[in-house]
Amino acid sequence: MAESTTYQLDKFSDISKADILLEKLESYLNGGVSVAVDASQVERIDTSAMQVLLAWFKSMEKQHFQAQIINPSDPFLKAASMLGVSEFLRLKH
Amino acid sequence: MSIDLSQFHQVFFEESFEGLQVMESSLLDLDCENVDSETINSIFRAAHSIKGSSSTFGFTDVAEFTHVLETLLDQVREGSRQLQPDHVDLLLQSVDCLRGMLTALQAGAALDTEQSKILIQAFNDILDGRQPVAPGGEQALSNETPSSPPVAASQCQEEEITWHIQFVPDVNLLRTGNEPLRMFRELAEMGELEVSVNLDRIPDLAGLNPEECHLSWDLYLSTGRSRSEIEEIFEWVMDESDITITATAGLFTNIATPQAEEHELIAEPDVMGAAEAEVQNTVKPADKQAVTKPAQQNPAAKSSESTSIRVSIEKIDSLVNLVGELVITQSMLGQLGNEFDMEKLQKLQEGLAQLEHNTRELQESVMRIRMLPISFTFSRFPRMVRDLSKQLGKKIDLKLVGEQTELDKTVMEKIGDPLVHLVRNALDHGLESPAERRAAGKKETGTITLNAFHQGGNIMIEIIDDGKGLNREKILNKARTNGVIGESEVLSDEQIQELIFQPGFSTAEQVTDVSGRGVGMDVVRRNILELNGSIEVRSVEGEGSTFTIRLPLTLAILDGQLIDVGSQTFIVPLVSIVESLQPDMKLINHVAGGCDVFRLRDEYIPIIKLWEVFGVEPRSKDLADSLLVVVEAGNAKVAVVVDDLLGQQQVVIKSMETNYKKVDGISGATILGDGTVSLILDITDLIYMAGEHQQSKNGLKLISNKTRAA
Repeated sequence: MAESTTYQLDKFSDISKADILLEKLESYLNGGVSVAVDASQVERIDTSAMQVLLAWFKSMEKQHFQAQIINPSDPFLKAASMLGVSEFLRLKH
Repeated sequence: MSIDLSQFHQVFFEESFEGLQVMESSLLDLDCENVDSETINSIFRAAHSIKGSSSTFGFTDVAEFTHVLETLLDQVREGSRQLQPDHVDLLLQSVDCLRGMLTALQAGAALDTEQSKILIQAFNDILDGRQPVAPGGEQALSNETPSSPPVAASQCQEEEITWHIQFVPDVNLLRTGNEPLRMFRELAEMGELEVSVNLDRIPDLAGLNPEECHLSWDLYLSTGRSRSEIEEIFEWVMDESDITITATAGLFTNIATPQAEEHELIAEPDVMGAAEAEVQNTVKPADKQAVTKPAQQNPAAKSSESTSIRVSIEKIDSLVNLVGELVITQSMLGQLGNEFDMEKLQKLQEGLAQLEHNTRELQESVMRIRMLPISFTFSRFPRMVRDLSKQLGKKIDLKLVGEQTELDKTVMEKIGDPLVHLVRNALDHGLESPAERRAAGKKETGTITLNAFHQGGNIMIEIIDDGKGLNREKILNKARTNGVIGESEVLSDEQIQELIFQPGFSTAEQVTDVSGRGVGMDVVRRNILELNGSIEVRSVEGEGSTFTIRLPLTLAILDGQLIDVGSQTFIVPLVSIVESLQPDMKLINHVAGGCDVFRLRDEYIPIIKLWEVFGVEPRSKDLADSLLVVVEAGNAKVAVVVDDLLGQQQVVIKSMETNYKKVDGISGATILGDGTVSLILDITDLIYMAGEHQQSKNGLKLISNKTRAA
């Protein structure tokens, strides 16, 4: 059975922390595990952090691993919807 | 023989834009109750001239449009028609429309005549007497013919149009503090917004720089708002990004684009969270190969900076005279050189002094050619204040002072947008509504004053409002919430007011209003800093705010002080220097943390050792053997340690970015008389660098690097 892990997204996920997010998600890429990003605590997210998630989804797909966002908070859903990326992040409303 | 008329296009556009400026300012001066015939005549003449010229050059759409508004003006001029306030509104909208058409023509872009057709119809309705536009502009011809298209200008404002906005941001957009999310939210507040993202340019995670923006969007906005209102949302990113705004035919629900067919997201302003993804044809993100249009330039939006300048005959004559004198001096020196012997040395020295004098005068004269009165920038505000005061339901009196103050054309073009932002902020958030003003014991009419004047080789621009001022507590709370300052940090009033320029106040997603100020203020400051200027705010709660902008008169030449540090010669902008002195060692204290401070009268000023900042070997590291140059940037003063002070001279600034790359702490370079290259210090940058250096060296925080402009 494939391993899986969960990463908790920061309460304030913005450009100032986007490189940390990128680094963390990148570390999962070669780990051979399916990863879920828990967005339940997110109170604010900006385009930069959202872009990191999109690139991560893209890279995970390429490696045939499953990436998913779980428990997205309302601010997260709103931001994703406003940026037109809900579908790509497979967010359910 | 045929004449190539295109050679006259530039002059035509310049004259037409001037004509539109005359029309706009005259329309704003019009009093419908007591119409001044000379004002109407000048509006008519301007319109007539644009009509004639555009017809000559074959711009028939412009000619047809001006013809119809000219007809209305003619009737008012003859006295056969009473001018109504709504006519003025319609004419002002026509000025905007014409300006847009001419800008597009000038840029060689396709002409969008949709707006002009609506306006022509509105004029024809008035002229035909079918549906006189009543004061307030609410009535429309559609009452008469329900199936007819929208006609009156006021109505066409309210009629929903679906705008297609193609937004391809500049790769550095996020880095400069601009946030698409915020822009889209503002758009969503205007109407129904559909957002379609394009991920084709996004790299793999390993190749992604999170500060770069690789996303682009197609937005469909169904709204009654005008194009200019939509453009305002993008005003800070317009120049760098590719933005195309086009009105689409039909209603929002009828739009079918390749992207929209693939996936459509409907986001409504009040129920954004509940926005449901309407996936019409599910495509896996990784498989998605959406057909994307190449980034389209919007030439009309990019041509706002004019490439020519009108110069008075007096300035040209003065130049010709100076060149004449220069030629005489050169001829005299040439002759002296041919027959030179040591007896003529004094004559040679006199000749060289004369040459220096001539050159300096010529240089000043040439610089004066680029100087234009600031009224060119100020002239946009009466209209803006008129429109916004109507929109906001406020009574506002605009005072323009010092309109003839001259500054460099480039500086003027670049300061326009920050000024608009500041004035709009003052109108929107600074000034209270009439009811609030009454309750506060103030006059119902608020005042905004724009004041320009010269001071010590700089131009100062003040934006003064007598509104409610900055709310100290709100700013503090917001700064603490956003983590801009610590919970226990105690700040002076001045420092609190400075907080509104912090990036945290504008980039934070949920912050849209901090005592009415804050959105984009960091961008305003950054724009002004890029011009080697500064901005400060003084505010008294309940009494109003004053923003003071200081700008150099020109960006091409700088008065500098040459200094030596080791084997290097640097240039300090003279305008930044407070004083230079030999330090009295008794006045230098070594404070905890390792930083030296110098007591200058009642102030303790941090000492910056340039050799440490730039890694140069100094002649002496003993402060007793060195000199201190006290410099100032913004509100911060520091003492720079140098080995020697050389002369002062005007230097021609060469861009580092153009010739090499951006170097921290350096604003440019110049070539000295002996041919060596000397670097010009960027004092603001240097202060922050020194702060960071000290911080990293010994934990002492001179200046929070949070205040550093990005």
